Amino acid sequence: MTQKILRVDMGKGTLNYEDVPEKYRRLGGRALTSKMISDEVPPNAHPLGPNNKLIFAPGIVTGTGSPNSGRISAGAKSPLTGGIKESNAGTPFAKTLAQKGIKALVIEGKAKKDKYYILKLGNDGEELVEADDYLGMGLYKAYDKLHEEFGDNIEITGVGIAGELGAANAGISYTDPEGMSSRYSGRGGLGAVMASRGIKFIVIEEPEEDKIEIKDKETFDKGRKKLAKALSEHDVTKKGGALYSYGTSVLINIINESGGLPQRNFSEGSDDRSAQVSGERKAEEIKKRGGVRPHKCSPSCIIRCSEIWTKEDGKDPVGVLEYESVWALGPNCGIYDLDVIGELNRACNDLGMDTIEAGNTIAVAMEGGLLDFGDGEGALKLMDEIYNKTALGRILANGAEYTGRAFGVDRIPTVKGQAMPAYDPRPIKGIGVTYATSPMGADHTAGYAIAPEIMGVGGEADPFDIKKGELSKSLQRATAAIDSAGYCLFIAFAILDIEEGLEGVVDTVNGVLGTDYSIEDVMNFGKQVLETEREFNKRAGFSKEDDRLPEFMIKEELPPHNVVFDVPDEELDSVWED
Amino acid sequence: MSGKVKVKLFAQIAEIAGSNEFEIEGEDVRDVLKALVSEVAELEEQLFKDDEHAELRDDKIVLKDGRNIGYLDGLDTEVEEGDKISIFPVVGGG
Repeated sequence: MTQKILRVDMGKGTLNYEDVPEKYRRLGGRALTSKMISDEVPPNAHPLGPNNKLIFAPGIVTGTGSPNSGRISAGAKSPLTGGIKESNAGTPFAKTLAQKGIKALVIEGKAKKDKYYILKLGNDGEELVEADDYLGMGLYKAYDKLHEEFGDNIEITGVGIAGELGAANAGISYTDPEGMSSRYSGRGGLGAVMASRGIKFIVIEEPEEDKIEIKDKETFDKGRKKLAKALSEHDVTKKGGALYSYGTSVLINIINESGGLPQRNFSEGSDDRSAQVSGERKAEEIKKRGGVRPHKCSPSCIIRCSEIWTKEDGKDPVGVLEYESVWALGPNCGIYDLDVIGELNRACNDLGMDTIEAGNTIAVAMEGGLLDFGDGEGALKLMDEIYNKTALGRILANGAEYTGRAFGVDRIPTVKGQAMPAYDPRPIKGIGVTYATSPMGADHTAGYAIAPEIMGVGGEADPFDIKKGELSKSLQRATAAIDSAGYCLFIAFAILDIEEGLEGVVDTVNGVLGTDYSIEDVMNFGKQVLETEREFNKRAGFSKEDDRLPEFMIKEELPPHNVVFDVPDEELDSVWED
Repeated sequence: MSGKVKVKLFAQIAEIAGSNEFEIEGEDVRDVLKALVSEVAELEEQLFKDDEHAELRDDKIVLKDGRNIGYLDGLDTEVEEGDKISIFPVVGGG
């Protein structure tokens, strides 16, 4: 087997390639990071301490050229939740790591305090290079400088100023196809885990030889074609479809009209001004400014939901403004101006922070009286506090819950310490079941009930219906499998509706691994991933009492539907029953 | 019951119609959509499966005051003065 595990011990300063043990050979992506974290990290380890580890793993099909297979998983014990974390991103870094033959990259131990290194994975060897020149630098500039230093034939992952602060909202940034810092394993503070090892950047050179092995090429090719066909036919994923035409922010209008787009720290579920920051509005503006839309986040993508947002004059590209980011930094803060949102998103990308958590943090700070809802200029100044590493900046960089406590706020929209994404769970209850029960904390991607509840994709489910345990459970299992295979979660829109697409996914996985898995086996595989994660969390001190939404969502009615989150605890707990 | 309702169109449907807001009178959602397609003929095949206006196309989502009509009475859902009908193509994201 040419694939290896690369283990970098920052305490000892050693780099070693290891053979992949039999138990990990058929794993990839989330399945592999979660299993290795569970096997190697003590559950009581401090997330920033010497016993935590950061593991990067491309998915099983990542780098093979199968459609939408450019995903990477980063895993560790999370400084934000205190539980296990897998955070998934689409980036050219993913296929480059896979093609270099690295099944998992393990960063363990800790370098000397305040010493930072660049891990260079070059074609002529690996080395740790001092990163002192990059400290305190924004990531857009840093990535330019890294390209100058190491050439254009590289992909980068890195941590920004938020990581240097050891902050719980520090994400891990990756290059997009233009080489900018705009793709993220944003959630869960994994950037702080990376920075606390003493790694500032990982620079990987495009390998001269592609080391990915496809055991059964015929089955793989058959699957790849089936999946491509499904993606090109489904209304959501096809060329000219919603994602292609408007990007993920096409959801702003429908979630707002459905009464589930949280406004001003989850105080209301809709506001007519949301239309000013919709996907339709943004696509129109990108066209006018000369930005890019549609766009691929990674080379094998055929959906192309990404884009490049710029300033009004078409200059200073930010990268994509995702639906979640636009909402978090926009309507959730009472901000309805795409240019302000764009600059807040730029600051997050530059500081190395998750946009969902950052937007929630600003909204909670607004609720706490630090500034008024709608104060975009004030929100940008809060970002300066983080750039300047002030005491206030350090509080804000630790996320919504931490900031809420600092300012005496009793309405903090978090589960397991992680802030909620762009769907209020009161009028859309299935997503609330996922927020409550996912081992990741409040995470929409963990079991995207919005698809059946709002879009009628992958079945139909009334968003007001409280019987959502089964729905969330099956979606969480399917998602864990997709995250492990290395596919973009958006393939789910097509494969949940088109059976042939699902077969294609299973065929490609079987093709790469030389296995004979059935669709049922793959779902069961997803179940095992979830159980590994839940078991780790249990050992870290979590119980079913942590699988609950914040009190205010159970007591406080959300306009315009004036409903509370009324899914009974037993229904939430049913997610973990067979 | 009947009355004037606000009809809002989104994404490609608004592009096809050339406008994103209409005021239309009707007794139920079917009435409203029929009146809409008589105003904008291009929407006929976008919204209905057939000439009889019996069924909504599967790739469209219609909300009445924020509730999918599929969970109300479908095209027979009654409307009142001041209601809002929102019409979307199937969208995705997240």
